[in-house]
Amino acid sequence: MKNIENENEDLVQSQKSLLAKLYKINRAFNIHFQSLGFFLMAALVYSFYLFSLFMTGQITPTLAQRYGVFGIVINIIQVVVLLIMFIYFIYQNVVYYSFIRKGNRSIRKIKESHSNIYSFEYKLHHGIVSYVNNVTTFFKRYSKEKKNMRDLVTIFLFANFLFGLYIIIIIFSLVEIEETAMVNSPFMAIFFLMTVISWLVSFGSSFKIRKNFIIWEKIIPKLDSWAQDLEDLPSNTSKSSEILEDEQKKNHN
Amino acid sequence: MSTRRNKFEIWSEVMESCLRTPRTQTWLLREIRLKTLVVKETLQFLLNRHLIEEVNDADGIKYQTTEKGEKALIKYYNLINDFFEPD
Repeated sequence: MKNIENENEDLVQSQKSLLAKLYKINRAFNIHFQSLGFFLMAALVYSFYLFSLFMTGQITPTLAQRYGVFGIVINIIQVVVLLIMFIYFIYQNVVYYSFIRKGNRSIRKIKESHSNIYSFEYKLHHGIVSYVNNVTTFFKRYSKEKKNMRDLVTIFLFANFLFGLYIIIIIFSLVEIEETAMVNSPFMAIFFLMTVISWLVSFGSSFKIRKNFIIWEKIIPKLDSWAQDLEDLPSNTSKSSEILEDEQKKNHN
Repeated sequence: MSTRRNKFEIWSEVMESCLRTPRTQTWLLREIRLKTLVVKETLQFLLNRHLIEEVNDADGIKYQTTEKGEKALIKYYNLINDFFEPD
């Protein structure tokens, strides 16, 4: 009896410890995703605003005025870079969203399972494995033989920094345009501050995300060897092959 | 890399689902979203290694994780736990 109690204690303890870590990981991903999303939204707002100012004739491309054709080429390059940036940010958001959506679903499942009468009685959670499985599915989808998740996240990290900086420079160029009174309004100042903060948060949290991915990359092969250990356990094949027999009968019929 | 579920993903999920609460094969099929044959193979594999056991219930045959299965799950949880920094 005491042995069973100890076993239960070990199980509850290991689940509790792992769950605390999974919550922490999930929170880090949520923060990263939200800050990235806000930054993308802010960048879009500024771009549309700049475009509308240009279309209504409130601003004129100064580079084109000063340097002629060369200035126009630079302006086109700026717009192309901006477009690439948006596509890249959207791709990043899609990648993280696929992870977060599944992660949040698993966390919800874990919480629900704990309110289940049986689980509550034993203080056990169901759904932890489902969270881990979501992580491994995510890795399988995005890891290529030559480019693993670690490299992909490192590219995201540098792209966030550079593109973020680019957006900040564009916003500064907006502030320099004296004739547009709206850009100097308190609302725009607060919006700008929030944009910078979201950029810094997404950049800072990128390091944490990268660190987590490196850990998961090490864990997955260990889980494979855990499965191998189970396979190596002595098997009692004489027992209960009825489960498969039913299926074979169905196939014959 | 294929996105099909690995062996460890299926085995661990079945064992966790049957932890202290016996589950029917239908319940496992529905909740874990696996093909019938895969569930049957998984159950047989786990039964043969005494990681789960059959429980006869009024609703029919149910499966519950054994003490040995729980130990395997503890090992699984701790394996992941050890990679992350302590709280």
